[in-house]
Amino acid sequence: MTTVANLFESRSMMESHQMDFLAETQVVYHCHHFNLFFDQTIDDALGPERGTQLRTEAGHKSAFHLLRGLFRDGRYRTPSERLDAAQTLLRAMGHGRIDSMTNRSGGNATGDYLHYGFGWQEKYGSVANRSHCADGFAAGFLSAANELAYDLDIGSLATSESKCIATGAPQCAFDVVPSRQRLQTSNVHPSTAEATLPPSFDGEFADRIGAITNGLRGFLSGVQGDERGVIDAFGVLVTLHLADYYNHLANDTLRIVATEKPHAQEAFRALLTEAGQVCSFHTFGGVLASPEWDAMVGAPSGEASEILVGSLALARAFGFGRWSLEDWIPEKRLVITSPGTYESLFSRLAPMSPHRAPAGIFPGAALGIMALAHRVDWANKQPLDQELYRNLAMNSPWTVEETHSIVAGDDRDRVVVSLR
Amino acid sequence: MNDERLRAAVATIPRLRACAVVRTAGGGLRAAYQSPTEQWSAGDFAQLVGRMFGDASGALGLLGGGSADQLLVEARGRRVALQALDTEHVAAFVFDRDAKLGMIRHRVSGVRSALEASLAEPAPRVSNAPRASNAPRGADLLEYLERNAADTHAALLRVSLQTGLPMTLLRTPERLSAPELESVSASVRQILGVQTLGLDS
Amino acid sequence: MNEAAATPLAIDVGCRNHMLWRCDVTPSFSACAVERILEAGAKDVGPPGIPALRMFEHPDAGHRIVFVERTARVQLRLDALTPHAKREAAARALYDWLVDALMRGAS
Repeated sequence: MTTVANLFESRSMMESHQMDFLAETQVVYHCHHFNLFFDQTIDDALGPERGTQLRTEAGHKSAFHLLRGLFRDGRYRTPSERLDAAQTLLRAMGHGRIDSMTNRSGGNATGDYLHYGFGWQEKYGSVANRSHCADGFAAGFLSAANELAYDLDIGSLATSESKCIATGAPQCAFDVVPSRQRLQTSNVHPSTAEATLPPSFDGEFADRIGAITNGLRGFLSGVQGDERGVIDAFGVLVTLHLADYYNHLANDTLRIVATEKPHAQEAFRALLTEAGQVCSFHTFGGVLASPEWDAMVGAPSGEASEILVGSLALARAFGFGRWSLEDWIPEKRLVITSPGTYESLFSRLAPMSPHRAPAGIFPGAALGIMALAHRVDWANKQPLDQELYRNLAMNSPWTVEETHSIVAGDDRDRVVVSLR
Repeated sequence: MNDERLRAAVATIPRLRACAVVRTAGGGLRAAYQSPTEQWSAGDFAQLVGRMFGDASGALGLLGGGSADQLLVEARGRRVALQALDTEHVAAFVFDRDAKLGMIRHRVSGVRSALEASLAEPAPRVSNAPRASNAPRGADLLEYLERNAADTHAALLRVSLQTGLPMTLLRTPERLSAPELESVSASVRQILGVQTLGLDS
Repeated sequence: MNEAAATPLAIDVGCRNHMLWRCDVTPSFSACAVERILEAGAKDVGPPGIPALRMFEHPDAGHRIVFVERTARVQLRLDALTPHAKREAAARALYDWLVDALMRGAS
């Protein structure tokens, strides 16, 4: 019998750098706002068909690494044990439920409450139509799960989503077929992370940020998806996700954009930053307003420093890296540093390329944190809705610059938010 | 006065779900703003607002109290405030039910002068010159996108990424060539999830 | 009568439309709130890791009542699958259920 507790035994943390691993695969928490915006950016760059293909491949590559690590200790031996473990893990990570009817030659699968399709319906379903399927990650996960269940090489199977709730279907459906894909993987491993990252350091409010981070981590260690694969924490639709899914996608997409649409590189980089801003506004903001936060830390009073401290603790607890406050001048300037983030670590380890993926979450989140600290009326419980977000983003007086990066050989990642 | 002007004036008002500026005579809609949760027809709403405001003014006239200035309607899910603007227009503000009455009065009064000023501006001159083609001009397209996209602030970046056209060119849409215009048009349709844009009707 | 046990229902801060609703248990009811919610049939669902927070699941609908004991704040957290069109009605029904639970035995 597979239990989530068994599966989560393989979690580990690199405390010095606030990075998290599951079965030796780097993981982070992200909500549906970020996930949808990130995938949308990939589809904008490549078109729906090719975007879906690349998203599926990224899910395949990152999930293969995860599940191979999970099955390495021999606890799960038979195909059914392995498929059961994979599906249980997907639910526990908040990605929804898949049921597969497959053998080593492939087969079919169904999906319910899958994060991307369900999240898209939740956010856009009442205001927009969608004609292409949303669950590339789940499709890639299915390929990897079946390959490892039947001891096949990566790329031996390919999965496509034939029906998706985001396009109006009542249930998602997948076809798993034999394949000869050649998938090149480059994944972050805890030992390479330790060997690669520069020494850690702290900044302002270090004690306070550290204490809140520890409380959050204690809480998050007990958080998992329910039977449907939906996580109920902080009132946010959150997932435990594979950092390399985002990293593969950002790098692979940038390489294509640089070659085929060189004039659009500026837009691609800006949209990745925008995804980071979406993340901090919705996820950090949602958590800061939650009763969980109220009980753990105390409801935000409206004091800007509270929001900064809380947001940095959240970034750490979500596995983004050891984000620290270097400098802050209210309303005018915010400097955040980190001895690596989940993005820069991947880029530093990836093969040398002139088209390294830009940091998105780090600068974008910094902009969003500034807006949360100075433009939200916390004392009067201002709703953190899409309309407020749009207004803040359109009227933001700030700009952000990535001044240092470990990818460029610096001893830290550093972003500076300042007035335009 | 247009939708964008109205949005700029009212979108930051807390707990406001929608706003419409309506001609008191006939209930014609001058401009509308709706948050994404509001799915009703702004045109139908405007007709009813015009009628309601006219009836209220008529009733007050019978009492010798002059025409209505500000009306408040409370319902189960909404609070609706009608604010007279100039002699020809009324603005209807739709709030969440839990919006405080004092805040509603304060906000509605506060935005009144901005709306009146916007109504007093001369309408943009419309060129009678025939267009070079049937395709909507780039500026029209991008303005339409900005007015209707879910993520307005990111919409132009998305067009750039989808079409491969540089942001510098998209910021000067009059320079777009015919094939570029077609590409932008397809991108706008895709972002909005529609088959046609209806700009030239 | 409702106001005697809890403040009026309002939309809570959140990033999903109308999924989170809020009220506060009034002081004279806060001490017995946990007991009465449980007596009304709600299931105690934790969460572990935050001692000052109590979370209950409605016996039928699957919606959750999140209670911060220190401040008496209540968040009504609708089940993640509640359709948009039914959220407001579901929240009001849950609120009524909560107030009934709090008032029970308070005569």
